[in-house]
Order: sequence, then C-alpha cells, then structure tokens
Amino acid sequence: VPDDGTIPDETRLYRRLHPTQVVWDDNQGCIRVSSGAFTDEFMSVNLGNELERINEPPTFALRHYPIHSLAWLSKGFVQSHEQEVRSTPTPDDSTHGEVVGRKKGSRSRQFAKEAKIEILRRDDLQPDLLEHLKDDEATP
Amino acid sequence: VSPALQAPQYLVDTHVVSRPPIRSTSLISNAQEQRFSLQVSQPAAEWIQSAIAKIEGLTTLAPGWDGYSGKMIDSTVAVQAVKFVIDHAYPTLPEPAIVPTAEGGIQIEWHRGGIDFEVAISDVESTVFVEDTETGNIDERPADQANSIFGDVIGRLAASA
Repeated sequence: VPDDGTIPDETRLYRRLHPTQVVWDDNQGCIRVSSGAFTDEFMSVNLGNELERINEPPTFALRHYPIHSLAWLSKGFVQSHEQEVRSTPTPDDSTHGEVVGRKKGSRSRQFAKEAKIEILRRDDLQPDLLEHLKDDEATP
Repeated sequence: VSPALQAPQYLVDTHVVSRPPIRSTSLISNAQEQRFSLQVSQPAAEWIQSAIAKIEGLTTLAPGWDGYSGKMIDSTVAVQAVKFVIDHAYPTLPEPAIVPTAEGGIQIEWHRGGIDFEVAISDVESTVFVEDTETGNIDERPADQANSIFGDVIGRLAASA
C-alpha cells in the first residue's frame, strides 16, 4: 500500500540488526549501525505508529529474534531521501512496513549515521566491539 | 613512504619439481608438481587471522540471518573479501569491521582519522566509498579502484593507531 499520508512524519521505523551490523566508529567515538544494514530497495521495518496502536513496545519487533538489536529512523528522514514508506502488514505482524527506494551509495551511509540504536543486545556483539564499549565506558 | 605505512608484501616463489613417472597411461603421468614458498618481506597486521576468521564465519550465516530476507554469503564473495584483507592488512591499521549485507555481500569498513572507508563486495556490484568527515567530500567508485583510493587515505586511517 503506497504512502497515503496517514503515517505521520515523526513515526519511528524500527529495523532489526544482526550483531555483525553494529560497528565501532572512531570518528564519532561510539558504536553505530553499519550502512550494510540499509541496502535493501524494499527494506522491511516495524512501523512505530502501528506498534502504538496495538499497545506494543518496540521489543515486539524482536520477539522472534533473540540475538538481534533494534535501530530506528524517522519516516520524515527517509522520505526526505527519496524513499516511500508503506504499511504492508503480514499475517504474523500487523506493524510490518517497507521503506521503498534505491539506497545504495551515499544514501545507505546517511541512513547508517542517522539511525538511533533503540535496543542493543550486547552479549552477541563481536568481542572487539565489546572491548571498545568497555574502554568507552571506562573513560570519565 | 614510511615503513609503517607500507602494505604487507609477500613474495611467492614457484619451484617446478619433476615427479617420478607413474606406470600408467594416466593423463597426469607426466604432470609436474609445483611447490610454493612464501617470503614475507613486510609483516602483516596481527589482526589478519581474526579478520579472515570473521569472513569465514559470515559464510555460515543462514538465509534470513538479518531478521528479514538476507541471502547467504557467496563463497566467491568471501574469497574476494579475504583477498582484500590480505592486501590491506597494514600493521599500523586497526582491524576493520567485517559486515555482511542483505544481498549476500560483505563490507569491509574503517571509520577513523576523519575518514569513512568502506569497500562493498558483492556478486552484483562492488564499490569503494570514502567520505572525509572533516570536509564532507565523498568519493565512490568501482571496487577495482580501491587500491588507489586506499593509498590516499591510509595515512589518516593509521594516524591515531
């Protein structure tokens, strides 16, 4: 279903992350999402407004995924990068949506830098990334 | 170029050794055995084994590994990624991030010294992407030009190592 304007711009679009898709960025001095997580032309997400409608927290998106973390972008942000946001519910997930449009190149990098990590499952991250996190937390 | 900024260098020497004849009409009866020796004239980074192990680990990811419809990592892609790592395991660089992509590719990334350097290897389209976060300059090219771009930024990627 194409965007008919019923999805507010501030809606959070939640995207699951495999542990390997979280990287250390020394330029920013923090962990962030790799651009490799945002390359799908038809990129599945969970729509934040639909989660609110059914009274489910963002963790709903991880209910079948014990090792994945969760990040989000706003609908307004992706729309400003020539993407269309669609509500595409599935039998298993009424909050399912898609961000449709070409993302390769600099666009996927812009998405990666803008994405906010909502839930980080540390136990499954790469060991060297955990070392960075420990060092970062030990710094006063 | 400072020795610290030199790429790891390997000298592969091939020796052809005649094999004793085999008493058969096999097509390989006259084949010659090749032996290789590897001389490392500039040591590679200590992280090279870890990086290669990570690439190997990515080849075990099952379809849907990303929580969506992520494809398995193709072995050809993995071999190309290993080759890139071997050629760019500069001793002064930290270990890069090794990241799978949904279409079955592998990204190798450094984010350091004000430079974002990413090589995306896939069986569809391989690219190298560099952003100077201080100037905002972005350069994106086919991956076969990665070496020349890497040479331009290696000093900054290694600067704070």
